[in-house]
Amino acid sequence: MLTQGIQLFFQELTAFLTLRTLFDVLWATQLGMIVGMLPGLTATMGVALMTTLTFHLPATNAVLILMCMYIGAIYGGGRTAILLNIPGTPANAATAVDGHPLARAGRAGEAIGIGTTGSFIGSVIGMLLLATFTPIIGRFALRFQSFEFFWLAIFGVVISGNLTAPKDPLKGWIAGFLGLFVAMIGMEAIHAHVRFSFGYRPLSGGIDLIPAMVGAFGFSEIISMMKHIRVEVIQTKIDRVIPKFKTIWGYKRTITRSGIVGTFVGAIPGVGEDIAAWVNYDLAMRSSKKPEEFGKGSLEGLIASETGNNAAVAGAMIPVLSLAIPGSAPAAVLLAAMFIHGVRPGPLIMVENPAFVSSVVAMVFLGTIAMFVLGLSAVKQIVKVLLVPRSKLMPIVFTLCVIGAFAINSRTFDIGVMVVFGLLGYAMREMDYPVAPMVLGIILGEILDTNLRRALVISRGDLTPFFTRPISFTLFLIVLLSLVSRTSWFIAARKAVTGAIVRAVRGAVQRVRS
Amino acid sequence: MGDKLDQDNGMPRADFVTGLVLLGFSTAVLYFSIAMPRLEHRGINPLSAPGVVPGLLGAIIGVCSLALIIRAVVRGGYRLRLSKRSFSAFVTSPVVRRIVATVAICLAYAWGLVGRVNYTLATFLFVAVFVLFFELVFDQEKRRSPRSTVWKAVLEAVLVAGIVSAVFQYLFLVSLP
Repeated sequence: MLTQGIQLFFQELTAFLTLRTLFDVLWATQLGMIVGMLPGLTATMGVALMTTLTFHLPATNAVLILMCMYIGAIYGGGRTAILLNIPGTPANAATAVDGHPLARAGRAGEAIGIGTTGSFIGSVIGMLLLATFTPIIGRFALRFQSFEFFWLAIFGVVISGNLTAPKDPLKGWIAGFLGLFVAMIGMEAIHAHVRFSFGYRPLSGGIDLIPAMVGAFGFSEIISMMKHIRVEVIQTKIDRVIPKFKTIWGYKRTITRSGIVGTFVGAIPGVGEDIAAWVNYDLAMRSSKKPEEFGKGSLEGLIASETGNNAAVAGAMIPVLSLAIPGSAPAAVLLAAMFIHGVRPGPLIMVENPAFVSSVVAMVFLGTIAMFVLGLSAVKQIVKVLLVPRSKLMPIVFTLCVIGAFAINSRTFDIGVMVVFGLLGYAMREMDYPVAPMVLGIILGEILDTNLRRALVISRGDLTPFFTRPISFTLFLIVLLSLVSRTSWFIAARKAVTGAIVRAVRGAVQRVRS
Repeated sequence: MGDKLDQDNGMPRADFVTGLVLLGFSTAVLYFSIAMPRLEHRGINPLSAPGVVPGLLGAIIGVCSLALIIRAVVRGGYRLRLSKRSFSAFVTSPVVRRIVATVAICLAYAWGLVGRVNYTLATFLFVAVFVLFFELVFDQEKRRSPRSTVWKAVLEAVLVAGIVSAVFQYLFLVSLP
């Protein structure tokens, strides 16, 4: 199995080694880096807009360009975080905490070099785990029936709500269930009955994901960007960029841990690179020998967050390929793009199209190499892009949002969808509702709808199979745990129990020593 | 996230209002789901009726919004404290004016111009107006000379409108709106 996988990988990789493809890899990664660097242009928005620009290309080329754009954008945002203390994408917020103090101390070049290397290794670790776990999860998911898919959809929005709104998960869940409802609009898949269109014909086709996402992540971002005047000036000097091997080797444990944890956080439905970076930052701080340096320019903190967020990119593709459930918001766009191009990921992909999984692994590999090379070269020149004022940049972005929403189906209705979701996304942001669970809900809505009804018909209305089938029961327990784990009494009980355990262990250790 | 419109921790009040809106919304969803045809004449299983899942979602959103309302009430969010003064302070704050300007210009383009006026012309007007409005009206301290600002804005608008139209029409073969 392993040798077959490696063989397929090299087969796909060599297929990509044409001049045209390599050119695509380079420009897409570079463009992704620029998109990621510019505050207000996020990875999700970049990938969503690029989907509209590439949908005339053959499937593999289009997905390759999107994948490179995604990798480049998540990496590029770190540059702005280091130089300007503004995360280029939300995924780089943790990078700014230590990256910017380093830049102010005159170590911008070193910080960029370390960040680039971390991103590179994180991406490679993520790629290896993607190649290993996708077939395993895919094969496991072949045993899923309607009952399991129902729980999987619920699990997706609940866990995404939990993690994207850590302070107030209730708002995350509301966003998720609203997203599930959005997917109910239009013609349903079992009886072709049109729901909630109220006689308005364009609505009977439902709400398309791409215009909704371009609005929720693009237009809403434009509004937040334009609301303040901010003068952006770069005064930092950039010295040596290529890092010393010894420095990197010194952080080998942090890098490995961040890569693995980042990938798995990325693989959780709807939980993306931003959470992966913060989780790793937190883990690095707790396990560090110098926790006092964190926040003041710790290389360890910087490397943890940058390794983690790029590992999450590959991680987010694991559920996309094996379950057709996105691990992050940009991965949701990639999933939609695959459907547009006629590739159907999901449990059957290992049976129907096993080469595609290796193909995506090869794409991640190429994007990672391109990111590493481009990331360490032309640093000073590329940074000049940041000098473009937002009053000049944002109208261009909105023009692309409008034409991008229109281009896929050539319907002006989709421009309206983009605008409505932009305003909704902005309102949600102001009220502290996360947008990612809503987007995940729009994707999972159909899975929930068809599978719940199918399951009820199979069981003749009996609810017990939802709780007695082994995988169903496990998923139900996870959902229940994610819900109650956020209640105050559960947190208090958990603290009491861990406190008791820690005291008991300490006592035992002292007794053994004495 | 630190730059919220409401600085005095108005979140419970906002939650109270959103909770009420969501409750109204979920009730409507529940009502329309129950009223949805069950398609009995086609002999389908009532458990697979189209209204089942939307109804369930309506109920779940309803429960969540009730929880939101109760929590907001406990935190004192039901005291809305609306007054003329707070309203006029809200309307005249520069942040709100910038938001309104952004949304208004973007909506005028997306809903007013695109599809009615030639796409390239619409895009030219939008980019030019957007840049000029923000650079001449709002960000005055940065302004160097108005004439060069105008020229640069017009040049940018011509380039953006031309390039985007040409790329989509001839390269991506999209018939422009």
